[in-house]
Amino acid sequence: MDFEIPEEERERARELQEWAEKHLAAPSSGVRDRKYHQGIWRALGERGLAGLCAPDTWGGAGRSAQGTCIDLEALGHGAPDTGLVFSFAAHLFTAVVPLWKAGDDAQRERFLAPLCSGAAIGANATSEPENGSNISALQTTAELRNDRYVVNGTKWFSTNGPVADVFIVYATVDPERGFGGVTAFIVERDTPGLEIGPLLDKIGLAGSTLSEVHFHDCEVPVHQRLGAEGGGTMLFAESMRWERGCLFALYLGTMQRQLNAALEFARTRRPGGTPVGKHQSVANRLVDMRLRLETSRLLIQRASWLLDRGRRCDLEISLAKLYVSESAVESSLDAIQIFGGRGCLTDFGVEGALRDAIPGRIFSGTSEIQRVIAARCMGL
Amino acid sequence: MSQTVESIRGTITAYLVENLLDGDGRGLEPETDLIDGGLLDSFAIVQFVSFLEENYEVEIPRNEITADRFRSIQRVAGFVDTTLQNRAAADPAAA
Repeated sequence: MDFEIPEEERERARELQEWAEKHLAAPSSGVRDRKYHQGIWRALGERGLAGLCAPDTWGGAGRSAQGTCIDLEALGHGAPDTGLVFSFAAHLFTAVVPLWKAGDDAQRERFLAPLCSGAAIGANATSEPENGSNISALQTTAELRNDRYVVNGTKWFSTNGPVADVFIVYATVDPERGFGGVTAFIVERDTPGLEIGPLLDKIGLAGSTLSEVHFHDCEVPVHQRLGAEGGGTMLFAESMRWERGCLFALYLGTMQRQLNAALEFARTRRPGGTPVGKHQSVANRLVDMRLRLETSRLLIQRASWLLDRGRRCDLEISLAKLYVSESAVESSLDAIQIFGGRGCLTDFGVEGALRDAIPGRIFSGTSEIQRVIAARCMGL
Repeated sequence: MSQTVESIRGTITAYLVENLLDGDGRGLEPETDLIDGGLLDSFAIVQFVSFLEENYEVEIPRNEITADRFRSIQRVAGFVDTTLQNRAAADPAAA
């Protein structure tokens, strides 16, 4: 067993962190501008990040799941706007991964390569108003008519929806077949019948865009079906495995940045002449923050290690997602408490991490769902 | 390691009995409908595929996994057998 991260990996992480500090800051006026996001994606592509975990055959960087986590932690640490890193990770795990795993060569050449170069932004459309992300109960339908599927339905909570070029859409070819009817499709933004709803404002992750996506008799050629009819359930599970196992590594970065700032404050802030960190009540919070960070990192590394080896890892991934997302909230609350009044000021940069952390307990399956998955993996 | 369809079927049956039937395999036959019978739901099938991949050291292409291929023990065993044979043909050293 070796817990040492190789020096070349640590050097790469340092460089990525510095790169993110310069390139992943969203002006408050910029997040609604699609051109702004296209510029960010071009930069990600030039840095070799836009297809981070995809094979180099298609323009990806060929990073393992473990390597992807190291990179995302570095980006999360450096990026002034966590929402941009979140958006990029959603592009990776909900669009790049499904195309890499299930696309045929023609689909990979046409759709995956531009996603990996940063020329195109990816999104997915899964969640629905009635059934959330319950893949067995999708109400969006895809009816085969000659050489096309006609897609009808409404999706919501589509991360990158307002700015995406390519959507991975999950719909059922037969609602009676439950999860056996779920099928994935590649749908381009300008396809007639695809309507992107207005940008949805949310708590935190400001640099990430979110919208509904509507399909009104949207015709998708058969050759843009991703995988087999009925193969969508496994593909979605694979996509979620990567998202839950790797995306949350970005929160390791935000937690590390937050801990560094809180430590600095605790050492240098001296009301009455004594550093506040010398007070046991403050020191205990800092120790708890450190413990959550170290534990989160180990859980993420273990889960991604298993994922890389094709081993069963759904339990470990659910535990990691659950623990990291809850820890990010807890440590953000601790940081605010340590900083006191300053921690409550929006201009001071402490409370924003809490707003960025709260959605983490919801997306990619809520904390409650992660416990359900873990319980089933434990034979309950 | 060479596998027969019969041994694959036995391995699959043992997995299902242990993990989804609390050890009671009465009524589970090679042709029992695992999907309509409610044994495999969207969660269980994902776990099942992970088990097969780990146990047989093979990555099953995601575009080949459909509910119909997992409808019965017999079908799964045939599918796994074909996958292993394809792998052996592509890489005799792995057989």
